[in-house]
Amino acid sequence: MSNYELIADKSNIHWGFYDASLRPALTINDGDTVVFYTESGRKDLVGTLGDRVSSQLIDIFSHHEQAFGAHIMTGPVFINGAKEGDVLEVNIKDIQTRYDWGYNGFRPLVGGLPDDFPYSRVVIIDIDKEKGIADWGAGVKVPIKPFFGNFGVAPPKSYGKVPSTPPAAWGGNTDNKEFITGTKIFFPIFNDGALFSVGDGHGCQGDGEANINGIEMGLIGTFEFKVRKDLSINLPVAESETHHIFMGFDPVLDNAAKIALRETIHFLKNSKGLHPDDAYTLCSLAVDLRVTQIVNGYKGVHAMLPKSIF
Amino acid sequence: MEFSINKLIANSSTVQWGFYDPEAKPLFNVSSGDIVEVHTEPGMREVDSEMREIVSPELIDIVENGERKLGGHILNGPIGIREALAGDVLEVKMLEILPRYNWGFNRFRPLSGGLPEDFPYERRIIIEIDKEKNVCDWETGVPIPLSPFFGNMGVAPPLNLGKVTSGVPGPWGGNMDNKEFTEGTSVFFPVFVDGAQFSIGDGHGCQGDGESCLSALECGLIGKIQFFLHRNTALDVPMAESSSDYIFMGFDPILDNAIKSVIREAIKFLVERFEMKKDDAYTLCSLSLDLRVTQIVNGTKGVHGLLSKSLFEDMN
Repeated sequence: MSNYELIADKSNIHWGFYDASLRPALTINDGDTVVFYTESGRKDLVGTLGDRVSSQLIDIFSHHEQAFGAHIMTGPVFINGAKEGDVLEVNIKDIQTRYDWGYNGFRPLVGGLPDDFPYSRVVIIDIDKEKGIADWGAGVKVPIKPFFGNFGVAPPKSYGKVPSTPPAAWGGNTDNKEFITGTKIFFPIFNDGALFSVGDGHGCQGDGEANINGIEMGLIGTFEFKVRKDLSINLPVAESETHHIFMGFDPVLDNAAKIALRETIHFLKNSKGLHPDDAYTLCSLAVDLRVTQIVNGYKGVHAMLPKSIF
Repeated sequence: MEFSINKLIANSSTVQWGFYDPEAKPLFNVSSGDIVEVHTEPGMREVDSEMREIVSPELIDIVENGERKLGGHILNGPIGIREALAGDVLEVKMLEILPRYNWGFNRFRPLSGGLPEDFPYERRIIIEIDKEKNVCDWETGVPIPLSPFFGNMGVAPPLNLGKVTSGVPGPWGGNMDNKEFTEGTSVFFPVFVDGAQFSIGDGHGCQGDGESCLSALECGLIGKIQFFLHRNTALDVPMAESSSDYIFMGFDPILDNAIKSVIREAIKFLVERFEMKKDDAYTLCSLSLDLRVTQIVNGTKGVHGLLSKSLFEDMN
């Protein structure tokens, strides 16, 4: 098992999209571990932030054009042996904040309350890594709980270049705050090598991501990759230390909730041997439906099934 | 100060079955600070032969002699609160909630529930409640921990609405089915008619966020609840406060709309209570407000937002 480092710079990122035809930034073997150093940022903040911005990020801004979405994705990583139809298990071994700054912004026509906030605003947020808190001078300090908002494998080739904005079968902009250190995410694989990319570090976020941003910031993530030929899934699923997590994505939350519920019942039937009727009742009694995000066009609901009841 | 303690046990003369009514007369009146011990029964429209073996004589009395209107929930009340006037806020504190019986049930039926297309038939199961081990079980091999709360409670709705079904949540409370309303939580209701006229029932032994299949562990509960009347504040919809969180609620047939109401309620609260700027409050919601699906099965669906009280320790 080998260990690699991938530090985001102009040679190994794609900005705002996923694409199965991208050349790999790194090739690894099944079982290897990669430490990703990711960047988040906006060109218009460089003046305000001054030398708090890394030279690599400046370099990315001057050599790349943003396509579709906002996310600076590090990758893709080609995993030897991964074939279409397999499942990629990504084991999140560690997540650390990378910089002492992040930001939160909202803007017209997007976010959870576009009618109430028809203007742009961005705040720079100071990150105190030692105390584990973030502060932007509003009188409250929020605890840091970092995770990656956007990661996944390449979409099917037939999709071409797709925006990094929605969550989808390949992962993408899931913005699921449960994906912290100790969580495993399972992605269906659509291309040989899987072609995994990661970005969109969030210092913290509430369920829902109400205004369209978490604390957007650079993170350092240590991921172990395994190719699972024994599994078959249609949508990403996850397993934290305490829960099985199932996800539904749809422009309408009511539909996303149904998808997450169906995924949970499917798992209870196939992996736990429950009759579907009992699985449905168990969902009503013990599974928590939570709003992942309402701001990515395709909204998200995730279902939390506690492992302790088994 | 001495508060009086009343006991209110559900029977055919002490419940409103299926509705909230702004013109209903109170069973009795209490003062701010008083405690009432309610003994509630799960809602059912008939007692079939399987149920007849286990239900209380009081529940048989309700089903045989009570008058059901509009919905199905059996609500103890109404309890009048002395000096409560329209425009006040009624705080109802859950001091203690215990399962009343060693049984409950769960049920789904066609055309309702979270996945009506997948489950187009009726099913009801009796579920055993083990009070000592604090779990319930219906022989699936997966015992589920109890976390009891009242699914349905509220004040009388505004006069102009007349009698409303107990099936939906609304500004008066009603069928909120919010699993956060466990022991120690205070729920705050806007008062619409003099005396507030509070009713409570629909015990749930446990429930997941969403109440996926239509019903939870429907069971009888014993609750000790304390009433406080607040004059210098106003509310449009109920909110709550647990030991750890402020809880905001939104109700709408479409979840996407319900969630907007919740974020708006949270922002309004942050601006009024903590004098935050509206823009900062919106950012704080994005970073710290946890939006959860309360229930998807009551026609009018629910979303609630949890905001940790620990964020404000330095500001209080």
